Amino acid sequence: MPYTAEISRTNPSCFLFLVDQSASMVDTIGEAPCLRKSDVVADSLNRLLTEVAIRCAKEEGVRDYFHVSVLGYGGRSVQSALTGALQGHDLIPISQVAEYPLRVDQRVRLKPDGAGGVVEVKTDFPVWVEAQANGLHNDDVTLGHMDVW
Amino acid sequence: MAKLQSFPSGFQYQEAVQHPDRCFSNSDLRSASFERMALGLPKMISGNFGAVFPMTSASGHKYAVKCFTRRVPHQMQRYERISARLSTLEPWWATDFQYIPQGIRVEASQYPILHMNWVNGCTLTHWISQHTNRPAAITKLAHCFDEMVHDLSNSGLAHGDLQAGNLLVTDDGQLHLVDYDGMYVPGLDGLPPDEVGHPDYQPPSRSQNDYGPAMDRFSAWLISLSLKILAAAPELWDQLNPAHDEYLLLNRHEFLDLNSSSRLATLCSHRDMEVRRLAQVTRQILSLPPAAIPALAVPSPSPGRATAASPTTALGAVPGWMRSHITEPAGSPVEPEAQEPARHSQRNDRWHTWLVRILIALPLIAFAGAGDWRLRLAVFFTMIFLVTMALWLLYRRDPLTQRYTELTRARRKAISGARETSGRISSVQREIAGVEPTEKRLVSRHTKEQVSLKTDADRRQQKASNEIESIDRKLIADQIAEIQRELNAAQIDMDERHQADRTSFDQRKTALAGQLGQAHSDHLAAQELVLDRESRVASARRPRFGRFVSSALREEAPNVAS
Repeated sequence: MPYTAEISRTNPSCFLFLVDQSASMVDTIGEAPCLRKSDVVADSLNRLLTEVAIRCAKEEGVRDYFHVSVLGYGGRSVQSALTGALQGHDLIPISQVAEYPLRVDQRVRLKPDGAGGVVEVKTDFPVWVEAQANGLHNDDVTLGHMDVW
Repeated sequence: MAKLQSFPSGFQYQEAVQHPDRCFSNSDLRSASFERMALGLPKMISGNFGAVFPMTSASGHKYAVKCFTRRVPHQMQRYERISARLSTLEPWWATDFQYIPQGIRVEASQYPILHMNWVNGCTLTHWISQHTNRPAAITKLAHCFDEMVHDLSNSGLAHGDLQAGNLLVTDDGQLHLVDYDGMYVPGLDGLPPDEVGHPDYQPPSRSQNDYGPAMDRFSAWLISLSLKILAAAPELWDQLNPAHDEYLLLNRHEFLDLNSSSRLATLCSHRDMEVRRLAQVTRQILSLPPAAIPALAVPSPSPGRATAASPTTALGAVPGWMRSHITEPAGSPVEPEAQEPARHSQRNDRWHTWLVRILIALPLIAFAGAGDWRLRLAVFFTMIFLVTMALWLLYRRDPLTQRYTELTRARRKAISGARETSGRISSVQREIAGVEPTEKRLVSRHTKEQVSLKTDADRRQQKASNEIESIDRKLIADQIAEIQRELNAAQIDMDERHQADRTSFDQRKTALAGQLGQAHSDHLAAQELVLDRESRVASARRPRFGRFVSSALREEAPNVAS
């Protein structure tokens, strides 16, 4: 049922991402021969997490308008797909997410050079979730985690 | 230029800003460097309509670059006019900015940016959190805010989104107003912005139709009063806004139903009298229809009671008419003006005493000096009469009596002023009541004309259709089409006439609404004046003739302050 609700620091909203990390995620996607489904999912999720974090960026820092959980399923258990400093935490305020990416990659992108051609440009790309593909589906255990928040 | 229908997201701008030399068209910005947030990405401040990037040029000058994430109608014309107006006025609270239509390249397209000078300060919310232990600084800032609002309204400007996030305070306590996206300047009447301000600072009914020079009144009062309340009781900050959220003391939920607002109830029942009084004023202001809210009063200390208040009390900056809505504290200090004549009469006391004694002695001397007893009596009564007259004159010339007379005269004048404004309100209301039937008549006439036009056309068309057997079908069809064209033309003509009638009528209605708001505001001011004069008269004890004579005889200075 559609509804509207205020999102503020006293009344934050929650994002729960469920990531399929099963063996089938090694399959390729689209035309490119070496582009795995798991890579595309990880990139999209990392980009989305960056978007959410910078949307909450204010003068004094990132405000906790959202809490985020990323659960990976596919192996024997369901667990947080976040690694590094955020490992083991199910629900994380967005300010903490913004504070502790796993690493910041340098991605090479082709950009228009302004004269009709393209040029290779390196841009910083924060990474929280690694591409993973192993094991089998296990939806049932995942759903149990949604009660936490 | 790029199609402005879809704008880049914050993420895309952030990617672009990582290479200032590639994305910016302005040479100063091309060589500028950005700050980094924890993610390692360029630091940015996100807003509803865009993202602001702090940038430092090669020469060390700091800028704020605003990139837009949504399309804003008439953006360029609006910024050009606002910029022209502000550069003429050069107000102390404003920040320099330049609108660059093709300021940033994202992917293959160019987008506008706002190139601004960086204000080295923090937002009002952040500043209050740091200054809850310094009420004097909050009082000063409240005064500064009132001056800023006064300056805006004096210049015919309105900001449109007065709120804590747009008020920056520098280290030296100077206030700056930023974000001119929704600003009104004279000449922008037909070009309203696409925003109606932060809901925690606007009346619930705020819409684009309110765009104009008076749109800041609600938010200006709200911020001014909140700051004054916080100056009187800084602990309320953590109590009423524990998360230090974007609102100050009251938020949008309170505005919807003031009577069930727990925050306002907390303020109204606070142990501090200043807080209670300011809370009552807040309730009054927020209850008024937005069009009837008067402008925030001139912040300079007004003569009379306001100056008598201690400079550390928040009410020192409370404007004139507001005081009519708040109860006086018990045992208020005696006014300086009232004390002045008292001192004056102390000085004249000795002179008065001797004059009165000589005057009273005169009939006795005359009585003793005359020969015949009839003559003595005649002289005695004549002297009594003359001396009483002389004493009466002395009594009337006494500074205390004169002061009292002046006060009662001022009171009479204030009362007649209040009657006059109240009369004006009734007369405007009568005019409005007179205008309403005209509106109804206008609408009903329009409907009748429409119906009669349609009936006539239908009749003619029917008649033409009936002739179908006798005359050529084509001719009839042409005739019907002609009737339809005539009907359309007549309808357009009638609509135009109706529109013309309506326009002048609507103008009249708007003017009357404005007059009513002004009359209400004047009446509030007049009521305040009456109250002020009443209290002055009450605090000055009426000097009696008998007491004047007896006190002069007893060598006592008449004292109003007793």
